[in-house]
Amino acid sequence: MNIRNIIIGIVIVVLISFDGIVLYKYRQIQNRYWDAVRENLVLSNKDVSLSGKLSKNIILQQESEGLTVQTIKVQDVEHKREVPLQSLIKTDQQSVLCFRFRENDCDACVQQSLSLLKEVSEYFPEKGIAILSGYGNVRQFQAYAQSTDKHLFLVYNVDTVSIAAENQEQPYFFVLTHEYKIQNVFIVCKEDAQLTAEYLHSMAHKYWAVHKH
Amino acid sequence: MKKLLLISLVTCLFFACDNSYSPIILDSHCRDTLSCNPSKAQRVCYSTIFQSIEYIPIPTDTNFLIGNIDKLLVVDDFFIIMDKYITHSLFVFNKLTQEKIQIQKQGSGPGDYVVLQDIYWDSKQQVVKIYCNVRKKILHYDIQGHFLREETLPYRSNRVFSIGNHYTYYVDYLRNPTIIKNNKYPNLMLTTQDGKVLCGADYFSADISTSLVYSTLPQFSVMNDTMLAIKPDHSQTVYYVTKDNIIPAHYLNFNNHNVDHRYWNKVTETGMTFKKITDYSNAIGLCESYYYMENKDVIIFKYRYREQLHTVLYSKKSHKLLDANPFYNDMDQITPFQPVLVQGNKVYCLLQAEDIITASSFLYEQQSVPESLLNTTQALDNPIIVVFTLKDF
Repeated sequence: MNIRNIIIGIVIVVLISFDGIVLYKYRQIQNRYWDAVRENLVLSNKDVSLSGKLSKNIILQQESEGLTVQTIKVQDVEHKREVPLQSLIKTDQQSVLCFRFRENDCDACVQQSLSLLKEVSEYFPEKGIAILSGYGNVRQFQAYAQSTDKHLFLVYNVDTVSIAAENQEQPYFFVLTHEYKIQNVFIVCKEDAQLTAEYLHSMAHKYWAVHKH
Repeated sequence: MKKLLLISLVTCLFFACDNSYSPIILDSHCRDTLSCNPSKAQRVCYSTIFQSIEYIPIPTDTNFLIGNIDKLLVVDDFFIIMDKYITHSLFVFNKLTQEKIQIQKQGSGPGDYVVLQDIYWDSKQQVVKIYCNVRKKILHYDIQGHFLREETLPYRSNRVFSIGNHYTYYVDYLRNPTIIKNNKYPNLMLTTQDGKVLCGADYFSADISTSLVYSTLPQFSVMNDTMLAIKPDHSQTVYYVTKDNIIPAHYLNFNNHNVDHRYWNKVTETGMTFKKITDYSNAIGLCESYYYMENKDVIIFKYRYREQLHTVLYSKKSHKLLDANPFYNDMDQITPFQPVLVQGNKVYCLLQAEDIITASSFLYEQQSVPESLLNTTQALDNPIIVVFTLKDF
């Protein structure tokens, strides 16, 4: 009788343990499945919003393209004076790659772009890259300029650049040509840093690779 | 047979357990309620609350230019300043010796940060801890600016603080999929050093974009060595974090003006913008509370009601709550009440040098600011730290 009870007991324990293990594994699989579903939903929502953002950027970029720089004054930190934006162009042949950001722009986008700019700076000639910050406060601009690699970039502060790309909250690049025209405007998209890297490489190739050799 | 049943029961219980953390904290468990009625706000003068003002100009030179003060720590005579966005640096200066250093270590090597996300003073180890949420590192620096060591954290967040042997993380609308539990993400959590989540609180009320809502990125108020306080933006619950638990401590009750489902429904509507949400909140008279700071004696926060910013000061000793609108500066007539730190009976605010220059003739006339400060301040100087000493109120 006792032996029978023990055997039944062991069988019950084994069965319950087996049930428990199966239940536990099932819950794990189910959790993983729902996490994956959720992740895919988030990703597909992200894709939709990214594509909308890029379309909007393209329109603003096109609108800003080819405009001639008129009377934009920039603050020169080195000489502590205001100079016209055109003064960035030193010779007839030179163009300058400009990176524009304002204090309220997405900071992660600004940092990401500056880091990419540093990486490609060797492809650009000396004084070939200008940073146009948009600080409302002069001390803030000077503090920023002081902390920037001045041997890599020219640093200026400018209140407003009157082009359509300014009507959004992302930093952007453009090339200021020797004809004082704004060309190849590119609005940074935080979600795709690769795009910015490709833009910078193609600009280096388009405007400066020939002069390099 | 009893033994057999017991074994079976234990086995069942064993398999019923899983690795989720507990407990889910509910707002209704708050210990205290602070009630505010925006229609009963009154004009309060600075002199009702503060007994004195002290001005501490931060030395300025070309190698010590602060863009913005995003966080201030005061340790004895040392002032530790975080400039997160402009120079991405830490500035340390000694009030007595005027000794000053700048820590600017952007990079990805040992001791470097990609993003200067947060700083705090570890009083036990006597080090400044810098948190980089890109590298997921805590960097230890001594007060002289020497790098000591770094440690890796398992999660990304907006704020981090070590408490006892544990860590507490605060995230501000930055969902962390690695800690999702039951389709919820905690804003605030307490973990062990190796990342085991012990406790989670203040779940996201809605899936929102940070660009839609006004966010002040609240910081932990240090109550003592074993307790911190924090109030997430758009939450009316103040949480205390101890080394073992997260406790809902106070509930800020605005009654019919509470931020509730009306707000969160609006935020999640398609086509919403920051302006539309703010207009809606103003139109129906919601009270959005921000800038919460607390210590053992006082609670200070602000809330916005129909485009007006109210300042609330609450004395824990007398249980007196002052809802100030306007909060009138009858002391120096210039320093805005925007605390960056509340420590002991001191409230630290900032005064911009250019504001002094702009108002200098008025200030000379009023004699409300020391003449030496008026005479020596230059427009491009670093901000001045203004220390208000609280009265018992």
